Amino acid sequence: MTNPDLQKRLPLSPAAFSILLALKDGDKHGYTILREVAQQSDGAVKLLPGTLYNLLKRMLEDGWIVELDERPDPALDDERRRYYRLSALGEKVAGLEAERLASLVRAAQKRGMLLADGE
Amino acid sequence: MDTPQLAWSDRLYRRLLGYYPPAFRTRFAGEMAQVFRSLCRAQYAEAGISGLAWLWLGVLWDWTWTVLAQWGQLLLKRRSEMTQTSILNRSDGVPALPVRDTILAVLPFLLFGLSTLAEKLGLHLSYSANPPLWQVLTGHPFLLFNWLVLVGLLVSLLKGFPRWGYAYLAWAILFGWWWSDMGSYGYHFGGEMWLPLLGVMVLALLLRRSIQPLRTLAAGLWKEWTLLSFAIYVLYAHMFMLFDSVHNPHLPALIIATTLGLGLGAWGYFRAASPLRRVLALMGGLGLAILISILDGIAYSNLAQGTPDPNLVGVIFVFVLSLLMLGNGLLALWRSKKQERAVP
Repeated sequence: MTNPDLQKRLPLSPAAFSILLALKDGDKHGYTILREVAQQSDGAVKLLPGTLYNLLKRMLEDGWIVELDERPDPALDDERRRYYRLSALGEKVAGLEAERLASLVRAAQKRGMLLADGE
Repeated sequence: MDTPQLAWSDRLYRRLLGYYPPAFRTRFAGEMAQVFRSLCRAQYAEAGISGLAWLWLGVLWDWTWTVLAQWGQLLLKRRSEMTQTSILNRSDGVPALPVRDTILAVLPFLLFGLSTLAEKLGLHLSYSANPPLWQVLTGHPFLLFNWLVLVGLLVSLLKGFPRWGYAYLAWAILFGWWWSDMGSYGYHFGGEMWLPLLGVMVLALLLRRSIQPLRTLAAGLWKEWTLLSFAIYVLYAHMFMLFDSVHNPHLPALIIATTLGLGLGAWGYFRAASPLRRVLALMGGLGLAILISILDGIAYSNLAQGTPDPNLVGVIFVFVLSLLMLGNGLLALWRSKKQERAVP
């Protein structure tokens, strides 16, 4: 998939972007993704199972994430859990979305709409 | 140890998961139930029953819209699969013409409508009692139309005979047949009316120094079986557009409407990528033409008693013609399926 094709998929929803970010740190199962998303957004993005798996299904179909055949530690883990990994394509999409958001933030900074730390 | 509230929550959520589409359920329900279980326990530990109740409020909303979203996606997917496999959309390998080329293919229909209009309204040069032959050949609206069609045919042959060329070829052949027993301004034309068409073919061969355009023409005829329907369409399009013996006071409007209707049918033919859609477009064009011819019935109101209603005869005739075209489309479809199966 070329960059222009991926650009058409932007902007990502905050939930989708948060999932990709959560997976950037390493392979995770559903509940860990859910917790990580809540943490990284200070509770602003709260996913519930329906939305989470709705998005994971779409990302699997698009090849943004892959499901792992093996669990990191089968002995310590529930066998019903499935782990997901960010694919190269998913990383590219997340990167493009991050750039898009950064340019918006820069535009807001230029117009004095973003307070510097401590202000 | 689970409290009754947690056990009840788990059971209810598992039941709700049953409303997702089967494929989604099979793939994700187990994981979702487990995530929900973990969420419930965390929420219950943090805020007790009220925390659980708040979680349920969110979960019910989340469940409602994601169930609808998943069924919606499934229905859209099925619909698109059905569209792809529909007999109406099955291709025979002849792609739709681009818009620019389709305009070129429809142009002869519009030009013929214009020449009919010019002929009926006398919007052409009037000659003395015995005009020289060259004046008749270049001044009569229909003969002028033929020259334009031949120019179009020559251009298409020089360009290697793109698909729009068939429209010009069909009209040129029709004209040769039609005017090989026709008189105008005291001249009677016979078989020599085929000579310009022959001349164009020879000229194209000489200029191209190759028989490639003719080979493309023949190959296209073999590939696109529905061109048979198109040839029949051109024949009847010209008959419908002629408005012979019609003296309807609204004749110009009728000619324009018929021309546009038949042009639309030809447009649909060249823009469709499946044989059935192509013949249906032609049937639609003929249908519009017969509808307009029914509207001009006023012109026949002075027919002698007992004369069969020409409109009724026309309707039956076009119906039979349409069935023939439909048969032609189905035959083309059958053939392409047969060819597909033959490919290993």
